[in-house]
Amino acid sequence: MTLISPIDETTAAPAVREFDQRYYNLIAYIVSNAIAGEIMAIENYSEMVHLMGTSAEKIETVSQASEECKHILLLSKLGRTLDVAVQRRIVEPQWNQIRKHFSAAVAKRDLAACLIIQDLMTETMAIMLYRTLANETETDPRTAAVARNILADELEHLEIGKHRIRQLLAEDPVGVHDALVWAHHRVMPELFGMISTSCHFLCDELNIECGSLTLDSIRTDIEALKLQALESYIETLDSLFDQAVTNPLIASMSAYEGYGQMFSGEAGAACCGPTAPSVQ
Amino acid sequence: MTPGRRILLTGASGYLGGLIAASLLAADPALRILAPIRPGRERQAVLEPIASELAAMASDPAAARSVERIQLEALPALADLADLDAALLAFGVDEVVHCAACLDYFDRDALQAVNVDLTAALLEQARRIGAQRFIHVSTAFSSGYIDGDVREALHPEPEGDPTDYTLTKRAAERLVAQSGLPYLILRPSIVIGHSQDGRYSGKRYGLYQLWSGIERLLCREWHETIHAYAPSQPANLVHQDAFQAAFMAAWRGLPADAIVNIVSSVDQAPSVRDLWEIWLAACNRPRHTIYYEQMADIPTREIPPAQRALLGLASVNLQIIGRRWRFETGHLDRLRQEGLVFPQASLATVEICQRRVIDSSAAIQKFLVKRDSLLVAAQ
Repeated sequence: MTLISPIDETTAAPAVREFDQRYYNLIAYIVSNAIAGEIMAIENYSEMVHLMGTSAEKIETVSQASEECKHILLLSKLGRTLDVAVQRRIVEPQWNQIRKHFSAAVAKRDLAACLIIQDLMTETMAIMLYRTLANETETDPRTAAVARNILADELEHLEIGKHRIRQLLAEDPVGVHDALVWAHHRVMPELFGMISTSCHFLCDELNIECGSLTLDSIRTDIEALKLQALESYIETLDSLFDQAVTNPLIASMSAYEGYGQMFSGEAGAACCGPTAPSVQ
Repeated sequence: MTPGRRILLTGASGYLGGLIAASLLAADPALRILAPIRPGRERQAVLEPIASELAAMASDPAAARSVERIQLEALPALADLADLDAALLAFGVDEVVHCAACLDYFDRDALQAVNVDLTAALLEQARRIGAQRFIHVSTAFSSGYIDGDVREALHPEPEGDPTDYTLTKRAAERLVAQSGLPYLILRPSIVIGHSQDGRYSGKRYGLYQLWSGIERLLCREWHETIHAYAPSQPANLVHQDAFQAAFMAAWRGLPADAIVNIVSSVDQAPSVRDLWEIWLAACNRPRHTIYYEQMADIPTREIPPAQRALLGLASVNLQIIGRRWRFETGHLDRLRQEGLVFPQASLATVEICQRRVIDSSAAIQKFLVKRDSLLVAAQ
């Protein structure tokens, strides 16, 4: 079990940048979405406990759910500290879609698919997100410190997931490969669809002007994030599977949101205004 | 071919459909086209690329006005396709040119719906409205993976398919051939930009997917070593002007029920390795390039993540491009003997297309400055 170490805010890196309201709006948006992901993770871990083979594994899975709960508390506290509004419920529909796919995997008792969805796919994206926030040259010291703490947990969750999947691969490689293909085509489009500054209702909930969010206040852009996410996901896949299995899956990602947007950097414009693109 | 034909053209908003529309309109000032387009498509967005192509073909901006001879109609849902019958009958359709297709290789449902089900529904419709011929744009790779030549005939089931795209296009060809309507099936290989100036208005498929992938993944920073999947097999590419000329010659001159492979000559075709070499010389300029004949030979876990991502994203297209395909070209040879001018895709002409991509990319131009400063500093 991982314990979250207390954050020593006195030793956090001194602020070297001025942060304006746009930055805090962006942090509110990202943190709210992160909380939604953590809520989904709690539900996923809780729902898959009964699929685990041993008591030790069940306890470990409950612990993972508990850690995700602590992340919500940390992120909520961060919002209060920064005096930004954050949502503690799922607003964006992609999370609910992923939950639905996860529940379908549980219903068919497909443990491999559950582990792949939660521990590989979702955790890989979470790691990319928290790495971005933990970069204290781009974010404020409090955000960076919280992100570093959560990142350590998520990295451990990823390793736990990989270990479990390796065990399943040794028992039934065909079944795990089938689960990977099934989960990939359902979950990855949803996760990549969320790497944008467009939203459905979150801006309204946060009272942020729609269309005002850009990532330049943390000196990155949507395309860079998408490429980082892609590279992280591929790295995770390569650590477990042969390229003969993974290459066709990766190739299929070139079509996400219409092929152009995967590479074009055209995304991230409209928010929930009348021109907002439909995700579903 | 009698002048003033009335053509129902599907897929006019796509790359090949737009090229076909421009070719037909340019060839016959009395010809008219009815093009169904999906609801929500802006009229201007559909017509503008066709107008640009018309102007470029004629080297005369005034030629763009020919798009006024295109009548756009909203495409109903598949189940309601008959709702279009009245407009088609009023228009007086002589022939159907079916160019609409789904290229989402991994979306089996969409491939089935567009490539197979829509083709079946259009064949029904063509019969209902009394069309005299059904012209179907397929793909040179509809055979799937077979040993031996890709014949200009319907294909038997192969041992395997590169993707469900080729499988569904093969199924559609069968529907067309079995429809009882006179037909012409055209099978272009990988269509790239114009042989003279490299202009290209298509999506990032085929070779453009590789170039676009390099632009986005390998032009963010300079790579000292690049690992490239580069089989020495010739890559079968067809310039858009060659495709247009072959389409028009086949449309005018071939007898009913012909199947035509629209492919380039293997003699002049560059290999995939040649394609990598000219790109890297013009753009990335790594100190070392490691070429692999087989995808499986690439140590994917040891190469930089951006290069690994590129190999993964482009893997399916690269494997199709890099396979040794041998095509029967009887119809094309005959059309050339009768005067068809078919510009072959050679390394020099592909380089023209490549140059246009490099020159028009802000990201690459930015990278070139960065690369040059790094290389100068290293000297």
